[in-house]
Amino acid sequence: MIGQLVALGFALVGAVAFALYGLRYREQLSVRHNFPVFDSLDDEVGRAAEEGTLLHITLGNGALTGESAMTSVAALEGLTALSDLAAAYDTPPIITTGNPNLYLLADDWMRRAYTRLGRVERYHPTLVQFTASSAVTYAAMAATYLYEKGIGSNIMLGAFEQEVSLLTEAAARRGIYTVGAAVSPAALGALYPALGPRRLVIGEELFAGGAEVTQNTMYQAGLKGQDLLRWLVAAGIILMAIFSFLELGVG
Amino acid sequence: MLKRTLPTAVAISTGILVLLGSFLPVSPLREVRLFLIQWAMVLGIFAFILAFLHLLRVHLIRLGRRSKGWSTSLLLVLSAISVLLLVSTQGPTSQWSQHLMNDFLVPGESALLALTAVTLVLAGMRMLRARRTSGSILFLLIAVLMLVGTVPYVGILGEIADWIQGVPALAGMRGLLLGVALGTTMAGLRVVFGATRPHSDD
Repeated sequence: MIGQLVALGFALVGAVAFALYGLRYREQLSVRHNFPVFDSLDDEVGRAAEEGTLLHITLGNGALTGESAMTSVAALEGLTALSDLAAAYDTPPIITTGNPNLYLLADDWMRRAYTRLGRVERYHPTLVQFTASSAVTYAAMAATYLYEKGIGSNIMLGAFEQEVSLLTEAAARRGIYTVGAAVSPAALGALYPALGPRRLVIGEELFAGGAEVTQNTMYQAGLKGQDLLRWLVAAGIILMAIFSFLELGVG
Repeated sequence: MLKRTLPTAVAISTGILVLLGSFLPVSPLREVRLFLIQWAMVLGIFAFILAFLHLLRVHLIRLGRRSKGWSTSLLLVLSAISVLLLVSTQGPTSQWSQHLMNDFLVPGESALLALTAVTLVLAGMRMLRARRTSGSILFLLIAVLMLVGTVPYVGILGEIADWIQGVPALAGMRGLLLGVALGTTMAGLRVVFGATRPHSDD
């Protein structure tokens, strides 16, 4: 019960910080962070349009009813600008997911991008595809798309594990430009050697994608709140370590 | 207007109720939370049916057009329909369904998972060839050290590998997971506040 109350306290602090930062930064210009991966997404749409190739977006298989839910939502937020631009250029990306709920959400997300631009008739439902429900089979199936469909860029954002290396291997063999973002240590272990630090978004940086690409005040407020919570966690860890060292009955 | 506000109102109220039910597991919050999660599960099943039908549709279109990779589509459609018929008629716990699962799907997935070890080694070799930065070299050195450290009777190398796994790797992993947890918290709060609406247009 104490643990749950502490968690509730954290959530409340986060909520208050989010509300306050939201009010404070309402009228201010947002600050751009330096995330080359998110900055490069627009260029990839332009490149695909020029070269006549396709964009492939893999969203992983994070369930919207599980602990990966917010990772998947954050991945979609990071793709907001890309989906708008792709709809505007009429270079629709192929989006694959390994989760049925995420498939429905991504389909709706992409359809709305076309609707916003008044081109809903150009949207084709086969652009967003559910490929398989198990993680490894999903990765293998998505990898076959890289071999078959004339893909020029491969963007991997979402909940993955080490099976993501099947995708990076297929992309490397076909010479497909790839960027990625993942939160799990197993996926990052697989992505780092394939992509390197410049083309990889690591861990919590994935949650900054929405703020980076939309420059929306609310996203920025969320990032500020996240920073505040991080400081609180760090202070808590240091205090626990000191209490533990002094044998004050904590830890 | 209703199209925009109703989903947002439902999402916010559901989010707050589930959140409170998780943090304060007292009646009736606990029951309400379980009830809402059960609803989500039921909706998830319908989502699965829709996704399955969509999968068949995509591959039937590919088959109809004889586009590149149509043989993969044919295999997929045939196996999907035959498994659906088999499991529907025999039941998920029947002998044939179990054979299909244990002798076909599980070994197939295990083989693919084993393949990731090979793809990881290939990625490491490719990295050494393409990017000889200090970070890449350190990454590969530690990867090799960890592999060697798992071999019995390697003496001090095993101890170093254990230390790396138990101290810096564990600390890094915990730091990473803490950061992700904070990101998840704030992303969830954005949805609960209605600042982000994955379910409707902003």
